[in-house]
Amino acid sequence: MSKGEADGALRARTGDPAVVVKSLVKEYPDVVAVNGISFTVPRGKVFAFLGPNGAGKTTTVEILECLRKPTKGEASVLGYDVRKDERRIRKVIGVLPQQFNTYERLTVKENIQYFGRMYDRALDADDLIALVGLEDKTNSLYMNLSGGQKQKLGVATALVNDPELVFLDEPTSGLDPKARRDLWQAIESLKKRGKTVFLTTHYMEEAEVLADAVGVINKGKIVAMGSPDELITRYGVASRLVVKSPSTNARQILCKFSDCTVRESNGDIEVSLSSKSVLPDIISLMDKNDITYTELLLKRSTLEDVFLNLTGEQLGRAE
Amino acid sequence: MRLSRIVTDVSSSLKMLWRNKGSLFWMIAFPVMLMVIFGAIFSMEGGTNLTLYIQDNDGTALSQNFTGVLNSTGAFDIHYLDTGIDLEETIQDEEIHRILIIPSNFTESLFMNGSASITLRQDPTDQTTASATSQIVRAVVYEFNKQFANSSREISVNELGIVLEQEFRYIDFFLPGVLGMTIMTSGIYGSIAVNTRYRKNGILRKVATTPMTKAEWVISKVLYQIVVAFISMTALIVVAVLAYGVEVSINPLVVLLVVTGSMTFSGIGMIVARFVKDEEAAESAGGAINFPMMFLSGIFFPLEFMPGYLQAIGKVMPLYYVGQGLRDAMINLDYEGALFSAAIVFTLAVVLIAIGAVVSSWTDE
Ligand SMILES: Nc1ncnc2c1ncn2[C@@H]1O[C@H](COP(=O)(O)OP(=O)(O)OP(=O)(O)O)[C@@H](O)[C@H]1O
Ligand SMILES: [Mg+2]
Repeated sequence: MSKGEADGALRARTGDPAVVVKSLVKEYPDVVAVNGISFTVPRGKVFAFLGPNGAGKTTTVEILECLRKPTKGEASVLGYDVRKDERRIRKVIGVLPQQFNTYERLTVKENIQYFGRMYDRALDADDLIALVGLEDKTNSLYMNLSGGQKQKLGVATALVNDPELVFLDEPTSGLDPKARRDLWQAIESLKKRGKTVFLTTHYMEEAEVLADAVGVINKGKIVAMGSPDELITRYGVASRLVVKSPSTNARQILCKFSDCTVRESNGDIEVSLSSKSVLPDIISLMDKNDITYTELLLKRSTLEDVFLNLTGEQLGRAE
Repeated sequence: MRLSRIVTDVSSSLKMLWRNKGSLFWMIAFPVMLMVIFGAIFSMEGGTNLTLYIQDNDGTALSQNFTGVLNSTGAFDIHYLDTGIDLEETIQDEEIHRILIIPSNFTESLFMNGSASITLRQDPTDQTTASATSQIVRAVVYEFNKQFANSSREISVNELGIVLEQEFRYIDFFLPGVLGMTIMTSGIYGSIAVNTRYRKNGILRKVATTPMTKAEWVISKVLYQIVVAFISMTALIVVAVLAYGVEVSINPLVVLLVVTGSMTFSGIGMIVARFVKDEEAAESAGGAINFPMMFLSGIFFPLEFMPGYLQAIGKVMPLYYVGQGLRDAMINLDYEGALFSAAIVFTLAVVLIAIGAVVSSWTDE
């Protein structure tokens, strides 16, 4: 097939969503890793797959990367069927595998060039190095990089063919907060350039900061789907007001007003708020009854709460 | 199939090899050292002394006195040859490298004419021992001549060469063998290493997400082994020629045997790596194939030195045909024999690479 035809086929499919998954199942002898999931990722968006260890994130992503064969169901990437169009898919996706690794005795630049030469066209290695902020390590061997620098190189190699769709499997695992923010910036710049990003993560903050849409996956099933805000509104717990070190009369009065919990350790009281509009009422109630406190804290619901609510399980947490 | 991808992979692999001094040592320096050490061990003459043959055709007190002095230097192990033998035949039969011939008219000529000459014949290929021998003999003659100082009699030394018909030396036997062994070792271990390590550390998975195909990957890895085999071969041959004066022929059959030998052992490595996934276990399995084959295939000594049943085992070893083929093609110039071995190795290469390529998993499944 000539290049012209390939490009033509691509153009014809620009209307398709970046990823379409329908009733996808992946069975292993002792476990059903992916158990009938369906979702769509529109083009130009950042989609985050959020779930605990063993949820089936990597399995799903690797099916989309044509590294594993689905047991049942359908999946297409940029309009191409993962079962039939492997070769076309490989040209237009970029991949950062979980626990990325590359050639130890090649430098940062040589590694990027190596992967670049696997494609018909590749971006300039120096530009990519600048994008992920590895300029001062350009000629360092991979084996001499720190964990965060290795991960950044991984992202650079995932972008080398200027892909339509980038898969990043746990891009920020094990990175310090600074390195994590640097990578977030790189990912956001991808979105600005109209790329679709499919990332998996354990970190709530990551999904909240980066994602347009989040799919919460647990034990091979998608348990919720939507924008971070939608999910928080729909599945989040009510906002709470924390009253720190309240006077002794507080408990009786506040707990009469609304649902509340008392922390036995320090006596802090958490009051559930049906809506934010009740806040002034509570404050005037406390004033009236001479309730004193050291601090008032308004806690907003997070994806963390959503997850806890949906699965009864704790997720990993960014430090 | 995209050539640029294969070229990129092979050249990157070579760059990495160059940066990995450990591998470089095992693939290039170690075989050369092995060859030099074994070559030295087996080409050494007994003891530290040089063997000097003497044919004393004069047999007088004077000539015996002379050879006695020569003996007392301790530099030579002296062997006396009978007079009246066929000298040329004896030289060839006994592989004599240096011989001193005292003519039958030695004493007579010395006293009648005031001069006599003895003849020292040496094999000139052994340059250092040849000049040492010559110096010692001349020193003894010089001392001897001093005795006659007032009677102006003089013994002179007449030096001639010996042309030994080219005998088959150990190094001639060992060079093709050590080359075959190197091709085997780097082929088996090399392909086990890439196939287990790159799978385990995820590089294979990353490469599999690019347009590079499994066929291109397999070809790259085998091509790399072939290039490495030629590098090892160059190092071995250069040293063998410079240090031992081995006469080596490089011809298409040699090239064919190196290429197909590399493929054969890469294929074996790929198959091992497929069934033993853990890197260390796979390397042990590679060793279990490598070492017996190394000693049973007539690499260090001719197969004929072994008992019959071991010879039978040796003759089913792929390495035997690589070694024997290379020996026939490079040294013996027995092209018919080389072709026979090459045909066997070629068949093995095709079959093993095909099996290796089919069974070796590109991705996790
Ligand atoms: N090749 C395989 N053979 C057998 N089981 C597998 C295989 N790959 C994955 N599994 C199983 O499938 C399930 C999902 O694994 P997967 O790697 O997709 O999880 P994940 O969500 O990526 O987890 P993590 O956050 O730890 O990376 C797990 O129970 C895992 O043990
Ligand atoms: Mg995973």
